Amino acid sequence: MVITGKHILHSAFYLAVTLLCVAIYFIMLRAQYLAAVQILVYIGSVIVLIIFALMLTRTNVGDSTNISNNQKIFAALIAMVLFVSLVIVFYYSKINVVAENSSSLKIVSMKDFAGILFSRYTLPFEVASVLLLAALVGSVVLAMKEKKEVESGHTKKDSGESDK
Amino acid sequence: MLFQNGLELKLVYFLIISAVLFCIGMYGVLTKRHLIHVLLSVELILNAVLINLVAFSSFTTPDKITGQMFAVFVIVVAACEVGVGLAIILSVYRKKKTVDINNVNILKW
Repeated sequence: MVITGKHILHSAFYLAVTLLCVAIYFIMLRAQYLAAVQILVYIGSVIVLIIFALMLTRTNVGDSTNISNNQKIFAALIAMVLFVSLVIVFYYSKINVVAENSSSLKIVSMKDFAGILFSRYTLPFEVASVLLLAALVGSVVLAMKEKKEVESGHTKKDSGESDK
Repeated sequence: MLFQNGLELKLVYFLIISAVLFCIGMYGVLTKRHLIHVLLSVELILNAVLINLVAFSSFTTPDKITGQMFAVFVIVVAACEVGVGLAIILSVYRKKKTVDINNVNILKW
């Protein structure tokens, strides 16, 4: 649905539904915290960002018939070959890890999660925060660039303020 | 609670779901012409990776949560990627007045 939707706004909403299903799989795998993060981050912010960008770059809304390029058959072939080979690999590798009942999968509590995150994984956590800050500043600079060329004096202050 | 009556939860099911998501996302990346559509397909691929990470972590090593930690960092990096990607798409749109991927050849020499 995300791929075959005629209108791109519809496919953004289908993507939200797909992400919700992924969150449900996380709950099935007893990763409740991760499901919450998935709903908050993806459905809360990523979908909103994508829809904002769609509204801002509203060009060929009516042009919905020709949304694919002319490599359709080739790409479908590649995807099918990859899928079939993955299934063959799963079949021959004999992964038969079965959770015999639901209690054998341990529920990861948020306490354990936070304890490990702030003791063993402190450095990656800090690196991730620096990466988020860099991405924020970079996206603001990228989105402000054209305006700065047009009116150089005022928008510098604006970009600095919106950064905070 | 969820799987009491005969249904069993296998790792292979999650792997197959993840493979399906990955292949759909790759098909989308290869075929779509709209730039934001390509970004949506990349999100599908990242979610396939997330399902794989969490499934392997909670089936093979249920007492450690390394896989889930990796998944959290993958989510963080995906959020960064969406932000920067959308900013790039916005600036390309301001420059070229189009979001068709066939017309975006600024980097071509």
